[in-house]
Amino acid sequence: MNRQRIAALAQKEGREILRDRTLCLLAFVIPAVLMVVLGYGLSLDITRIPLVIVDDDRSQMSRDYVNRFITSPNFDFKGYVDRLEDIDPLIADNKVRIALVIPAHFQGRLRAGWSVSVQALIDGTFPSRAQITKAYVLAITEDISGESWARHLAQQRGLSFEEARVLVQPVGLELRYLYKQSLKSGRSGTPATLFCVIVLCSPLLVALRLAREKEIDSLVNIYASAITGAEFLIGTLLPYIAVSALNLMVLWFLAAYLFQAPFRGGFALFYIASLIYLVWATGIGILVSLLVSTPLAILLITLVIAIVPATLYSGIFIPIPSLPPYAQALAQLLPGVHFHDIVQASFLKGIGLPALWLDVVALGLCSAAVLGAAWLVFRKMPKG
Amino acid sequence: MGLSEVYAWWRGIEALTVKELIVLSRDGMLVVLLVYLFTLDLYAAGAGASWSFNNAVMAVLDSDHSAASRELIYRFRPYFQPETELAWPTSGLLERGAAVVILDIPSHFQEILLEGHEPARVQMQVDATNPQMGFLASSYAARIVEEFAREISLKRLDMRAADLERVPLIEARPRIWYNPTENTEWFMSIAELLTAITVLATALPATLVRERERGALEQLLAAPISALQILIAKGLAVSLVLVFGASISVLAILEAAFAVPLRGSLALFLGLTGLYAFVTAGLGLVIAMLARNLAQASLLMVLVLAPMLLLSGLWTAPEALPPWLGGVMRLSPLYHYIDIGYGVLLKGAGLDILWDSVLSLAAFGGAMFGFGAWCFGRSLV
Repeated sequence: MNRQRIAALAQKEGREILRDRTLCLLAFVIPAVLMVVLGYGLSLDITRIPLVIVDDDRSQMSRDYVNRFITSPNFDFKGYVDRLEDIDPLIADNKVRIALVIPAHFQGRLRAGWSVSVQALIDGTFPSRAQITKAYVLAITEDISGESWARHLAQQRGLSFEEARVLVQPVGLELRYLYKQSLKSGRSGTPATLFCVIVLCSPLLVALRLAREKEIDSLVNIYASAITGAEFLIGTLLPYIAVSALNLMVLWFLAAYLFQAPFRGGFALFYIASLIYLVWATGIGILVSLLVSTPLAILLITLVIAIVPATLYSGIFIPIPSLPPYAQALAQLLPGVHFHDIVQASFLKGIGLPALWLDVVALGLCSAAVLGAAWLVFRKMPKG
Repeated sequence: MGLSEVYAWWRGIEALTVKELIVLSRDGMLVVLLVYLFTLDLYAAGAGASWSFNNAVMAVLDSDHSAASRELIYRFRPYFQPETELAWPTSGLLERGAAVVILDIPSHFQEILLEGHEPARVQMQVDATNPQMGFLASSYAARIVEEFAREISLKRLDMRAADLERVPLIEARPRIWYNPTENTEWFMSIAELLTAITVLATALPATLVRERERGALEQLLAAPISALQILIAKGLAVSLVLVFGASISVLAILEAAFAVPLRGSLALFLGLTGLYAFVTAGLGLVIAMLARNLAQASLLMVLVLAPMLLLSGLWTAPEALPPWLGGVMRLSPLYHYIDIGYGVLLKGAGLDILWDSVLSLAAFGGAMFGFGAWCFGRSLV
């Protein structure tokens, strides 16, 4: 390995990025722009679920019950519907995701001391949203139901409301949510956004550059030169890592200050682990552009490789424990899940290397594997 | 314009479309990628995901060691895996992700429960790194504790379960429509199909950039062919390829592998997919027109695709967006295609319900092709 040749290649590559206005934009502006747009939008919270209500009772008690839903921030009340048949098209059109059906005699039965059941028709198209909607409905209903029973019992047996309440609800569950993303709610996806932007942008930059190189056939110059595979890889990687390292600071700054995401972990660990991930991402870009011949195919394949494992197997949308065993194993082999762990842990959990070293080692292995593959491919290239 | 002129105009488009299809089919890697996206990728996405909640690992800190505390822990079994019994309070397990929840039963739990003067408290710590998972875990726990508590109430009040009918309770009966078993395969595989079509429809028209760079477009314009014809032919070719891919996906993967019910008409789905692909290809063409080279085109694509894919409603619920952003996302064709895709395939919706989405797509397409044709003239001079 010749240090001078590496430096020359890195310098040339760096200059290519800086001189090309497009690459410059992609390197320095686009990640920040995406971070801002997605940062405002990307959220895993389920709130303001569009709701309609069919109230066949129209009594004081049914209105009280319904009011708990209308005033809840988790639901967005879209209005009353007269007939059951009108619900179907609303849900089919994705205009409404839950309909609450209150039967006639709702108040009558409760006043007479009988139980009553309320139907909640929930759109199951988006399973996670359906599950959470169901949980909201059960929680609100259980709450009112307990009060109603306690009031009834107090009256019946001449107890105070508090005494009756303990009889009805003898066990109290206190929930403590740890590592909540933000206290001010609303924007819960900032670490996830940072993850997405890095995963998407970093392999693309190098792939685009090398796609251009392929198009005008200037890679042949490299093959014809004395540069070895290892020198080519390192020389090409360095400027991109440098660009990404700078970007990472900007993104982190946006996350911490613009979106006020809590950052509880150590910055050094987060930064170094991210750089190791960036070696993987850049390596993938190089590998694809070495293997694939047309620029359009290079672009598309890099996009697919960047998006698919990151959305499916990283834990960002689907928690890893929910995956079937083989997919869990696959996920462990890919760097996305380890990088995601580190990002989430650094932002939300504030834990350090003792708990995360396995993720860091796995990231290192993934990066080494990609570089190894790229090196092999480079050596096998038809020279000329 | 007479009938024969319309016919000639159409023949021009037809010939160009065939040419586009041949060009696409010559890129071997691209064909491999297309086949992969419409089959294996879809299968992996559907089979590889579930939000099922039977694996959440729970740790228990039982400071009471009574019959009551053991009984409560036992009830968590079917939904949680109470793997570790902790000896002292620690949140290390949650930090490392080794457990999702920790159930903490304080000492004197049974005593307080039996006395019945105040509610016996138990505490649960929930890892809310993934807010949805955290919320679901806590809601399952709440159901389990309620059930446990209810039985104690019944015993104390000397009632049987059947007597609850004679108590003014409100019971919510949730019914999940269109996917009663709440399986994730349907959602995930369709989501992946919509994503693949979106990415491809936006990116494939980028062939235009290269043609312009090499001067092939000037040659085309020397022929008696208008800019609009060239654009329409490009859109049609992309649309044809994607409809073909989508039909294979629906029949071979969605229906055969995942038993997606296909409640609506397959022809309607494919027809609207064609419209969506055509319209989104229009977006790709505008991008190709504005860009001077492929790198610029890709940059614009990323800028458009990333928010479109992540914010149109597949991963983030539209109502969770801030209102201004929600308004902007209504411009995204994918926003409407999501309603169409799930509407037709899972909900059996027809044009009577989806007409507004179709109109929005058509309007978007009109704008894109109009703007594209306008740019076309300018970009060549």
